[in-house]
Amino acid sequence: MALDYKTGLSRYRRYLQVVQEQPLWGASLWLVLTLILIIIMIVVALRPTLVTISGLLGQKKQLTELSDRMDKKIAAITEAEAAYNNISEKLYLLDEGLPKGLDWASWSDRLWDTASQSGVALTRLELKKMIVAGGEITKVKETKELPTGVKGLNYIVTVTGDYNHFQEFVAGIENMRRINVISSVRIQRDDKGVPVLEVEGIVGYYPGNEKAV
Amino acid sequence: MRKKRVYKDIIFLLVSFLITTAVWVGFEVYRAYVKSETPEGIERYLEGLDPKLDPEILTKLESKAI
Repeated sequence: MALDYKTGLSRYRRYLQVVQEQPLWGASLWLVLTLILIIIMIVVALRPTLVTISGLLGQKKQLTELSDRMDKKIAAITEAEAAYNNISEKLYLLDEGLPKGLDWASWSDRLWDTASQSGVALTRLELKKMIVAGGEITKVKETKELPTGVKGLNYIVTVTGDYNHFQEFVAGIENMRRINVISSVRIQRDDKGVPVLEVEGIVGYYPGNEKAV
Repeated sequence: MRKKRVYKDIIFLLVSFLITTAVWVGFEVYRAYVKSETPEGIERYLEGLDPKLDPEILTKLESKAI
């Protein structure tokens, strides 16, 4: 047994000596092959898998956010619908206050009625910078006096009468449902000494088929 | 000694290549995660809506002449 032990030890010692002389060949070769294999695995197998997983995760996150925003929008629409139903009977007032399109004919009719009710005579109505082509208004100037999204048309109206009726006429214009901004009021006498009132203002409307210039 | 030197260089190159590959894959993964793939035109439907209406304005309009 003691002889076998010595024989085995000497064999092992020789083996270690041989390995010690050339360890680099074997060890480095396996290391190089392992690194190459890892790189190939990363590029061929790991990359597409990770890209797919992260892509799906990102998509899920985006769709969840979209779903949340959609839920909020639906809730807002439901609330708006309830509010709309509450006031639906009065919505015609908005159309009268801010009609879609200039609708200058009904406005001038209303102006005429106001003049009659106030006891003044309407002698001139001038709508400024409006081009009517084939019965359709094609160009109207935008104005800054009215709220955003509301366009306006400048006008000048001249009436004759006495001062008390002038006051009533101006108050009548101010009290119209149609959005209306009076920019200036001038009272003077004409050549014959008759008092003349000139009101300059802007009448608003919601843009329809007109083209702003 | 010469072979040892060659192997060292090869291993250095491979490790560098491995790190570069890992970084590249990392960026690819990040890009895939943050890449927006929302359906086209959906933003139009998601614009904010203020559901509050002011009924006072209608009351004031009602009180005015036609």
